[in-house]
Amino acid sequence: MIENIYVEHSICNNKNVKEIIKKIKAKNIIKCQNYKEVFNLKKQNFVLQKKNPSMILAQKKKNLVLKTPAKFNIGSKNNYYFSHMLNCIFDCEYCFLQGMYRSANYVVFTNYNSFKNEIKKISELHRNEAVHFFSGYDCDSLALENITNFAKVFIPYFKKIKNAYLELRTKSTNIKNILSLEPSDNIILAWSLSPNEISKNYENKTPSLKKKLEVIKKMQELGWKIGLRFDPLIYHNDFNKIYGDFFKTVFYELCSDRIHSITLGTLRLPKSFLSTIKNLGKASLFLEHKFEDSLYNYNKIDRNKMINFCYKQVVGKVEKRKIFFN
Amino acid sequence: MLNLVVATIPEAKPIIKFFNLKQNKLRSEFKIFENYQKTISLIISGIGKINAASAVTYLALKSKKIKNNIWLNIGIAGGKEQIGKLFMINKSIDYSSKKCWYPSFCFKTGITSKTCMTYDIPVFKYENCLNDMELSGFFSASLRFSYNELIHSIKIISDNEIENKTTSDYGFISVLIKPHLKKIEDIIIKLLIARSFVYLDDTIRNEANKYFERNKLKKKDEEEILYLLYKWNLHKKKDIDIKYFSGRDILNVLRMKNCYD
Repeated sequence: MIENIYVEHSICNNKNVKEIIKKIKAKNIIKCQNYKEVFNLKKQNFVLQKKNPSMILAQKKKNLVLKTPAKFNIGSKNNYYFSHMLNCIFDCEYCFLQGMYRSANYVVFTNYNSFKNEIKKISELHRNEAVHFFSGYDCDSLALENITNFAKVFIPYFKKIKNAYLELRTKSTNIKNILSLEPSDNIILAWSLSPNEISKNYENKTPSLKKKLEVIKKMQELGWKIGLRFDPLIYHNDFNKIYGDFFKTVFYELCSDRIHSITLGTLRLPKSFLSTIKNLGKASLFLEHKFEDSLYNYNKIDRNKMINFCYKQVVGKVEKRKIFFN
Repeated sequence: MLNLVVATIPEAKPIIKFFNLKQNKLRSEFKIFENYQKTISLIISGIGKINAASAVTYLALKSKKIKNNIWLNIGIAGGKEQIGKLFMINKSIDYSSKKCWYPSFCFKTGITSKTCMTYDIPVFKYENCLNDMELSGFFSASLRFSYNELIHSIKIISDNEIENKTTSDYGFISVLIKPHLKKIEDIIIKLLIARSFVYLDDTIRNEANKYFERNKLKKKDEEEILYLLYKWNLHKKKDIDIKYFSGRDILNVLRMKNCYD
C-alpha cells in the first residue's frame, strides 16, 4: 500500500490524477511545485526508500519520446522509447535504475495526451517505414497497470497508427486490463524471463517463472504477439545446466511459432552508475565485470560463451531473423 | 546516534524523563542532555529557525565521526486541529524564502502527516498547515549531515483559533507532550531500524543478524525481535546478551523485559 502521494500543484484537479488518488487511497497527499523537488533531492537513500516507496504524480514536459541506444531494436531501423513512469515495484539486485536515480519513489507522468502527440509526430516523420516504440526502459510497463491504465490507453491508440509498433516490456503478470482489449498486430507484449535460480536470488518481488509462463501462454492463445527477453543473462557456476533447463521449460510451455522476437543480452551496466550502486552496497553481481565500450560487462570470452550457449538453445525453436542481441 | 532537537525546556522535559537523559555538565553553548551510553543526545535549540539550524550544526560537529545519524525535531505547533493532537511533518515550508523540504517516510508511521510553515515571528492565523518557528532551520541544517529518510519532525498542536495564548504556560506544554511519548518512541525505533540498513557498524543489527543466521525464525518474529532489541536499548540499564538464547526464547524474554523492567 502506498501511504504518501506527492502531486504537482498544476495537475491536482486533472481527472486522471483524481482517479489515481482515488484508487490508491493514500493517507497523505502532499503538493509540490515540480516532481524534481522530491525526486532529485541529493541526500536521499535509494535502499531506504525502496522499503516504503511513495508515488509522485507529475507532468513530463520535455524529452517525452527519445531514440533508443543503437543496439536496442527488434528489427526496425527507427526505434524510440518513452516512459510513463520512473522506477519499478520490483527490486532486482542488478537494476540500473538504482544507479540512475537518487529516489526509489514511483513517478507517474499523467499527461498521456502529450506522449500520444509526440508518438504521432514521430510516426508521421517516418510515414513510409515501420517505427518501433518501446515502453519499459525506465519502469515496468504493466506492474502498476491497475493504477495507471497505461496499456488500456496506449494499446488502442497505437492500433490507429499504421506504421507504429509498441513493445510493452514487463516482468509482471498484471494483464487484467489487456484481457479486455482485442489483440493487434502492432502491439508486442514482451516478458523478461530468467531461470528460477536467478530470479529467486536476484529478482526480488517478481512473479515466478511458472506464473509468467502461464500468463504468456494465455496471451499467445488469445492471439497477442509475444516477445521474449532473455536479458540480462547472469553468470552462474552452473550456467549451462540452469539456462539449458530453463530454455527447455520455456519452449515446452510456449508455442514457438507465435513468438514475435527474442533478445539475448548479458548483464551490463553504464559506467557512471556503478559507483552509485557500490555505495548502496548492491554491486555484488558486478564484481567480475570489466569496463569495455562505455559499459561494465563480463569479459568478452565469458560473454560470448554465454550468448553462444543461449543462442544455440533458441535458434532451433524460432527463426534466426527473430533473434536479436543486446 | 539519535539526535533530538527541541526548542524549549518545557517541551523537552517529558522526553528527558522518559529516556532517562542527564545534562552534559561540560561547558556548552547549548543545553545538551544524553543517555548513559551517549547514543541519544537532546539539544535545547531555543526558539526560531536560526537557533534550530545552529543547534543542529553544533550537535553534528560534536559527533562528526559518526555519519548518517537520526535527526528528530519534536515540538509544539499552531494549527486548526484540536489541541494536543500529534502529527508528523510531510512538507516544511519557510514562509520568508518559500523554500520547501520533503521528509521521506521509509516506514509506515501510523500517524497522520501535515505540512508545516515556519515563520520568523509568532503567528496566530490558522490555515491548512501547521505553524512553527524552527522547522525550516532544522531541515536545512540537518540535511547537510544525514539522509533525508533519517530526518523527521513530530509536532503537537499547542494553539488553535480558540485557544492561542497558551505558549507561556510551561506546565501546559509538558502536559501536551507526555501522552505521545509511546508514539514518539515507536517512531524513534523505526528510525533506528531504518538507519541500521545504511550504518553498517550498527551493533544491534549485526548481533541480531548473527542470531538469525543461527536460529531460523519467521520473518515476522525476526522483525519483532529487532524492534524489541532497539526498544530495550533505548532505555536499558543493562545489556541483554542474545547469544545465550536460542530460537524464539529471546522473543519472550524481550517482550517481558520491555513490559516490566
